[in-house]
Amino acid sequence: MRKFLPWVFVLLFTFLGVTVVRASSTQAYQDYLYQFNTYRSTYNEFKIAKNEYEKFQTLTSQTTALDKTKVMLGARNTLLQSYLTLLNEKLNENTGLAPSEKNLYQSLIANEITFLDSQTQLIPSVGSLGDAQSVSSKLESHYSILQISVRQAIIAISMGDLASFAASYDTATHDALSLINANRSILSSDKQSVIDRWMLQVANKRSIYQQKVDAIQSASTQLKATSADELERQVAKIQKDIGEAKQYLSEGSAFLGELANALRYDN
Amino acid sequence: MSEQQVPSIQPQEPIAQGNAPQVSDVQTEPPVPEPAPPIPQPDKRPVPVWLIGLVAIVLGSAVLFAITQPLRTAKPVTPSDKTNQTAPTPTPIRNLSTIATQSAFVTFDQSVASLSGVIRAYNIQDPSLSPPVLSLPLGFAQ
Repeated sequence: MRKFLPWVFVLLFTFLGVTVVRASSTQAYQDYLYQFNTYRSTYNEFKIAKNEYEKFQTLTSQTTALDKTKVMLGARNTLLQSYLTLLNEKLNENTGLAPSEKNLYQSLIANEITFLDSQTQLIPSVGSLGDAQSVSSKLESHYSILQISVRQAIIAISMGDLASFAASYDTATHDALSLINANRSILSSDKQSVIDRWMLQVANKRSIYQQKVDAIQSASTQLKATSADELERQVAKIQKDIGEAKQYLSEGSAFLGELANALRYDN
Repeated sequence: MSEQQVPSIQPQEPIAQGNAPQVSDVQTEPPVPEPAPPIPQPDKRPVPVWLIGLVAIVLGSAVLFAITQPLRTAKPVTPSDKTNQTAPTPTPIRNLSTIATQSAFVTFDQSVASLSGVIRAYNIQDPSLSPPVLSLPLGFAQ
């Protein structure tokens, strides 16, 4: 019994670890949704107060507008921070990304969170609508950089998922090759030549996939945008390429399935 | 039937020239037409109403039965695509190879099936990761 006790603990902690990792991403998403609702609510109140101030131009309406603006600015920063935390957790959970890549994007996210923290610290000292404008404009001018970091992290998560599939694809291809080589003597020459040709097609798909992935990574690191629309356009192009890369792996795995069927039967 | 006296014509004496009877003297009675012999009448007993009703019901049922018979016997017509009614292709009998029984093959087969399923199900755009859309400028008139 004592022999098995350490193993029980190992299994228990492994299970708990997996649960915690799963929970951290889910929890971050729930937090993001909550913060989004809070932001939406504070933004509506800000819009109402702003309209009233612009309509009546009274000191009371001005004070209300300032209060609501400060609350909204805080909620906005918290929302962005919660979203960045969600991305960070998704990067943490990703099994396909190389540690160096993971660190790169996580450090980008950490920088953005630090920036937002510094912004949030300025809010209590805002004493006028002009101050509020000034604080807000800092985020506005930085927002394109933040958006690029966010998009790069999202692309990296997708690439990590694809890399995980590609690793399984490579393992399956290697297993197929070992199986064919081990049984070459019992395969007819015709069947051997067919199977060898199919293996070339499988390798070819993997090669095209890799070319596409390299192009995506290059495009992702070179993301630059003068406007939000331009950024959207570039990201849409990359997303399309990711779809194509996935399609190559899908077609290659279908070839492997056909190969398995060819090996399963004599005729 | 009562017998009637039919007047018989008696032979008359030859009429003398001078004693020729005058027209007015001749008593000619128009012959009474014989009444038509009465047609024998059958016994006229009234037909009972229930019988008429019964006959009507039977006739009605027969007519109804005759009308609905084709509808009942007709099989429901199911729309069928005639073009699909081809002879089934016999499934070719395939012999399992010796490779199929190897554990390495079973592992390979399972991993390929699993990989295909995972890739097919993968959504490249995770909806939970779509960034929030914010309206940043405060828009206060300076």
